[in-house]
Amino acid sequence: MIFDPNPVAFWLLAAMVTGCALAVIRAHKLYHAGLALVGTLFGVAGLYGLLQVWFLAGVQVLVYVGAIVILLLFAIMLTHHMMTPNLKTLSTQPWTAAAMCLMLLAVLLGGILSSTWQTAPDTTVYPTWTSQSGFQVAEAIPSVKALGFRLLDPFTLPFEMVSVLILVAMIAALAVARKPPTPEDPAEGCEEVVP
Amino acid sequence: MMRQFPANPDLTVEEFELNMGPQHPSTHGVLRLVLTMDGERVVRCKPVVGYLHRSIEKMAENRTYTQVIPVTDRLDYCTSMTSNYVYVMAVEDLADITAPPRAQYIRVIMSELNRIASHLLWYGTFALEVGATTPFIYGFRDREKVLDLFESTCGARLLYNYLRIGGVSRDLPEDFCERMLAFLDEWEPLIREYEALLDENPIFYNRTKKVGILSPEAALTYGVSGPNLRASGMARDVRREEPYAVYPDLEFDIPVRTEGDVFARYRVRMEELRQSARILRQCAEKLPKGPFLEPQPLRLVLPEGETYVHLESPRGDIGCHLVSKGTDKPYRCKFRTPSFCHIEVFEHLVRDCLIPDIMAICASFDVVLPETDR
Amino acid sequence: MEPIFEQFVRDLTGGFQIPFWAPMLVSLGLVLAFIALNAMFMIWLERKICGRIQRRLGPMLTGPKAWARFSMWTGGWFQTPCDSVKLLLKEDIVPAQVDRFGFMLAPVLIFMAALAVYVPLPISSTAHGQPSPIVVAVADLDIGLLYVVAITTLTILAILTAGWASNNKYSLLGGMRAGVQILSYEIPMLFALMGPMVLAGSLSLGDLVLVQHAGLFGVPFLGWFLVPSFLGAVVYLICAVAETNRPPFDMPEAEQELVAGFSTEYTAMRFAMFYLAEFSNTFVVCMIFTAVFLGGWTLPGFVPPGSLNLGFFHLPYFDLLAGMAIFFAKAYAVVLLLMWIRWTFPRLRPDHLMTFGWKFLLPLSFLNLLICTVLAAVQQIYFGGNPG
Repeated sequence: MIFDPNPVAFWLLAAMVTGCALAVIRAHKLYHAGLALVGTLFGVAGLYGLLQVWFLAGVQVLVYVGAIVILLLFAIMLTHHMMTPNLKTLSTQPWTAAAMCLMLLAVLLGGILSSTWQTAPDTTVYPTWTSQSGFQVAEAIPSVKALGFRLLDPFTLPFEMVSVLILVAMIAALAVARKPPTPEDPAEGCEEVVP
Repeated sequence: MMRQFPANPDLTVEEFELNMGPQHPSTHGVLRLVLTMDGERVVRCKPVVGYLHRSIEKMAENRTYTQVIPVTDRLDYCTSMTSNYVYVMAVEDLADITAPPRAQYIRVIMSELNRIASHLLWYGTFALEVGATTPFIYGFRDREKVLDLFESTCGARLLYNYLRIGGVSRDLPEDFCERMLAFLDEWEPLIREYEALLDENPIFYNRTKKVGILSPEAALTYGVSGPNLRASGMARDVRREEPYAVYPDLEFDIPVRTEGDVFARYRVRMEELRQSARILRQCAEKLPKGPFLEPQPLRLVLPEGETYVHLESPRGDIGCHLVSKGTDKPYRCKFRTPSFCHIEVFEHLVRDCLIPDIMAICASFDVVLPETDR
Repeated sequence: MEPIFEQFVRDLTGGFQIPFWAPMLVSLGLVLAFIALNAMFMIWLERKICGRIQRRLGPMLTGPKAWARFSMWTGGWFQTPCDSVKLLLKEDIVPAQVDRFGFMLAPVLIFMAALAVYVPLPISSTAHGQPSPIVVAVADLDIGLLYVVAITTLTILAILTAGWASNNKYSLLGGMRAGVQILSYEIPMLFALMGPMVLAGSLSLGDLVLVQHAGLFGVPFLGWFLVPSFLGAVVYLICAVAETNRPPFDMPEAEQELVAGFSTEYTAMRFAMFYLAEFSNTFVVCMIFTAVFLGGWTLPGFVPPGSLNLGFFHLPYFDLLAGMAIFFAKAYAVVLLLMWIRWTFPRLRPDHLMTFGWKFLLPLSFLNLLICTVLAAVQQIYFGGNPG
């Protein structure tokens, strides 16, 4: 094939990610911001797909879109006046914000430029979507199985540590959010206040 | 209205109002419930009635005593026979007329058949409210057969206008008793089928057990009557306490449940279906020969006086307070309808329930709106 | 899909090399056509089954009258096409107070999810029982099951958006109910699917079917994961019904409570999209159940020949067609089961639904995972390797 669709796909996805990210911060309704976030995350998942790490792409959609953004949207739906466009989208401290952003950019660029990018051994048909490979995962790319072996063989300890860490964080969040009920007020006891 | 949590004053919950009805798939006509909700939980419920007010009581004052009968049909379109009956009973009581025995039996047959039709309708809609579609069709299918019996008797399927002062408008058709018995033989085993669809289903059980519990005291305070009262453990039935027509000669039980929840109201009605069938069989056996009507003058003039009579309709204790000033028209004709009292209970029962419970509770009381608004 | 498609084209045209995008386009067209036609048939079937259960005839008047006279199953064939045309021609109403962007996005989103989920579903294969059969799917992804579950979450997003954007309290309640319901039933569903994953050692739906055909402990009849992972199958089916918002788990659109839930404000084509997606998802659930628990397009001990020669007529691709027939027969058996459940049960209450999901189904799916892991270990130790 003379035409290689990969760069086209990459730039389209990159535009989608950036555009949606902009929309997240510029949207006038919180819910729209949430929807734009979904677009961003989907774009990132698409980029993973382009790199043929399908497992990561799937997990990205499942965890971020399927769980985190949905919870976020739930939270948004519980806010006041969710239908009225009442969001100030520009920061009240533009110069501080700009300085912070530039610093972040510098750190990221430094990281990107200083890293030696290790690429997968390019022995396969990986970049070209010939009719032979199509969506099929090429053999040389680490498969789900390989990932599983990696996680549970050499990296078992860090893997387990991370899960314990998440559990601890969850319990801590619960402990912070839920104050013990005082004796005279049972947990669901609420009093009515006229605004 | 904001609610604050004492543990965390920054955390407030905003309640919102949900206007359920007057146009909503499951408010049975035009009941309106103004609900104050906290999420899916009901904080307050205010039933609003009157959307179907047709001033039946006022209309009655401008018609002769006989002309009022078709108006009473529209009181409760699911049981026109008993609505007819309670008015006719009041007039007869005031005029001191006694219907011939055959008419008495026919009236009881019609009341009980109508009870079956009404309970079948209730069974269908109640199941529909808890989300089961099939029982609805089952209930309607068998109600049709009852309506066929009515049609052969008085020509109408819904608003019968069958009872007359001093009897009934026409005699039963020749083969009525055979057809009725054939229907009962065919239909009575089907009650088991209705029950099998719902009773043994854990989903139904969870949704109706311990939901909408009405204590006997509260029931009496609110003036609840009929199957709803009997489901709260009070064995009260006008047919037994102040027997009218030929009920003293008939054997039947009064099904009573003590739980007072939605399930109990459902069970009581299912048992009543069986009892009605039992009464009907006895009536078919005992039905005497003779006249079916003691003809009255077209313009019946009633002596001055007033009376209050009541009887057991499928929905409960329906009463008629009739005042005569010695003319050919009622001076006042007031109906005491059970549905009106039952709607008041919602406010009390629905509090702290979830939305699906509202449906189950409202449906379990078998409220019919035209009867409420009159 | 591609290799078979290519082979097919080559057989027909004598060595024509197709462009790389052709298989994608053809699969898209096929899936779209399949969704529409299958949904139409399923809606007709649903109404007929419902009628049968309720002792009615169901739709009888549209369609050839002569057929209708024959039996209830031959009447009313044109009912759903007529309904679809009606929906197409209806006025498309966007209420004034809605959030236009969200309101218009939601049906597209839900249909996108319904469409995308078909990608890894294998419906048949060529060369049964041979070392490397070619699986018929749009693309037999390495992460098939994960992909399916991930795409399903888009449905929640669409329903939440529909509920929020409609600016209607009933819609909002419906959307919230749907979100909570799908989110909490996804977890036991994933764990229920994990049993078969462990047994097969793969996430690819095609591999799962092939492993089942090979059998467990060397016994082909034990192969269907319905047997070793029975609890998982039950949990999956319940969760799947809940995920597709079908009764008795249709709280989000409970007519008696929330009018029509999240789709209250929708009319015409937009409503049709929701409706279509719902039926499409129902069938997808049945297809996944077939592939994961019922052995997909295989039957134990049955290997269809590559082509059928009846003497007077030669049928190529016989194994492929036989596989499809078996697959759809199984899937429709599951569809019938779901319909039977739908027309018999009352609706659950949202809080009971949560209790049921978290306190009953989730532990059950854990237990199932444990059993499957033990069985897979036994298989590995005594019979060598994964069953496949």
